[in-house]
Amino acid sequence: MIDIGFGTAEAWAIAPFTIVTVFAIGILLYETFFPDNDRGVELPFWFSILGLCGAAIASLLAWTDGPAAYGGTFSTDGVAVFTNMVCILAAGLSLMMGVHYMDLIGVKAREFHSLVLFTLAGMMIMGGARDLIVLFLGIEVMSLPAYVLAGIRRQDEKSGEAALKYFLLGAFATSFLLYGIALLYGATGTTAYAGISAALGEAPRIAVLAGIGMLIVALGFKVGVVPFHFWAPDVYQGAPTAVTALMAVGVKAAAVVGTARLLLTGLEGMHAEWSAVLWWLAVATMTLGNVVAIAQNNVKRMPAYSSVAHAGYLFAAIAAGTPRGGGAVLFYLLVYAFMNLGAFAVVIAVGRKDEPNELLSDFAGLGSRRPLLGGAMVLFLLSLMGIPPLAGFVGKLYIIEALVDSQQVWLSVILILNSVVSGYYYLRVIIEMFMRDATAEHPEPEAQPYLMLCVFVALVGTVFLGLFPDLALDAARDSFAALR
Amino acid sequence: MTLFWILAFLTVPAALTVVLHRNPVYSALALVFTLFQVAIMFVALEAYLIAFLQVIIYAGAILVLILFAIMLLSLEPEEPSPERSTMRAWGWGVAALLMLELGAVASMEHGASPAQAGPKDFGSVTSVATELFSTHLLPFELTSILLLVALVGAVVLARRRS
Repeated sequence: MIDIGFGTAEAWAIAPFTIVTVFAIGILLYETFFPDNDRGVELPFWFSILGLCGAAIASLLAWTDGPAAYGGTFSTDGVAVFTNMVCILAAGLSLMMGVHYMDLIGVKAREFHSLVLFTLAGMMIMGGARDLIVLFLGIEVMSLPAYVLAGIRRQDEKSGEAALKYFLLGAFATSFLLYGIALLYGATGTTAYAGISAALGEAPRIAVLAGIGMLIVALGFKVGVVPFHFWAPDVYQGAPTAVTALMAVGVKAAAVVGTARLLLTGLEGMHAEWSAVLWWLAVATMTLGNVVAIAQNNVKRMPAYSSVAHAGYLFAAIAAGTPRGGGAVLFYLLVYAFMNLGAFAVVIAVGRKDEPNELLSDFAGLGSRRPLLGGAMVLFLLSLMGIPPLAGFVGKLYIIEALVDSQQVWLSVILILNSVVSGYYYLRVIIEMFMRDATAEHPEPEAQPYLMLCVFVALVGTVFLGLFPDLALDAARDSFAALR
Repeated sequence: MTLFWILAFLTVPAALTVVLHRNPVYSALALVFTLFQVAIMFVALEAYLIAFLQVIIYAGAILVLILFAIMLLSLEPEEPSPERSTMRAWGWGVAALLMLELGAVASMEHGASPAQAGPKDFGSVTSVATELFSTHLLPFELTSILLLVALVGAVVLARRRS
């Protein structure tokens, strides 16, 4: 008789995942049995939000520092719960952006909602994975719906191109991931982080190093660090903006946390080796992302490169290799979610039907046309730049603190220099909004209550986390400190 | 050991045919042959379950799928072109590198090799099932969701435009 390894601890551990999955399937079933395309998206939207709230509550209830479930391969510890929260936020705000936007760009597919929920389910698995196979499946459950979402606007060639590029490069990255997992398994005889960590000392070194290298390549693809970032700008530009927001925040957050947990727990014994690799990746990513962003005129392509640069900041914090660095990563992800989602929401608000309004000059005069929206955008951009007292500043400050704390002074200097460079292109948008007159006639904007709510939520988060970072920061730090 | 060498001399040329032949249908048929040889190797290693899975899943289901794809897309035998040959050179380079890497790893001192360290009934139906439903229960559950997601995604992208 087989003793099936499923008990109360296991049920709780995957409760958030189960809830999100059940709601995703529920939406699919509803759309199957009541196929009426003109009904509007409000019902599936609110149903999804209900699922997200349920998942958030379940995450908090399932929070445990006890032994991991499923024989130590998955757990809802602090890191997982924090990641869940960031990803739920990203999914919720992306759905909110999509309410009117998806109709506006002619996407009738109501599967949008359930695909976003499936992506979120994958992210939740990645946040809690303590085993390479679980990590791999989490990445795939997250990525497959993301590929489809990138191409959901089927009448648009760019969207299709984005989906295909994303899919092919994602599949390529997966092959690296599997090769790396196979090598590590061959060297250590297990795929669980705890077992790998214990067996590292006696494992053949070349196989372990090759395995780690492959894993970093694969995860680097998903995060979008240089030199594995080539897909990012095209995909971010081609995908519908609400999906771009989800990819730039949620997918990236899950991949970064997956990387951090793997390196800081399973492969902690090889810290000296991987930290050197991450050092160079972080420097290349920050610098290239920021320098290339300067040359961009498209307001979706510019945030794409800026998001590459932010991936560099996050990898720098992982390179610190301490729980402190891990805490800084988590906190920065939360901050990044608020400010980046806010900026994308403003980009959607400025666009209208059939006129994507994605050129920088389309923002000209926004400050006088729609002062509130313009003002919110200024705060998001200043926060992305890292200006006090906004959240972005606090986030960068703690990354730098973690770096200095682990003797990585040069990396922190490079990070600060990069922040200065990034100021150039963020300020350019602000100047365009407030110093230039509108070049074209802009009709009265339609009422977009959901979008404005989204901007408002992001704004509150950006300002609040800047002024009162303690609660979130302590939670982030404690969760990584409790990891070992 | 004799069996292994006989199989090896049959398998390697077949595997090379998969990659080198110009006609995709021949490549697919060579792949069937290769997969069967590997299945026999599994039998020789007394890993009967894996041998069966190899035949049923790879030589059966996946190969049928590949043949379907080839016939639906009506792929022509490829024409040689300068671009192709540069890419082929790159391919050989990467393959050589991987061979070197595999050789280096294989020739090293081994720690606990998982197959040798396994219990006596390693690879039997019972032991695989025990592993699947205890140690790897979560991946087992996740795989089912993954398949569902892939299905839904394919339908969303392939459905007629409304």
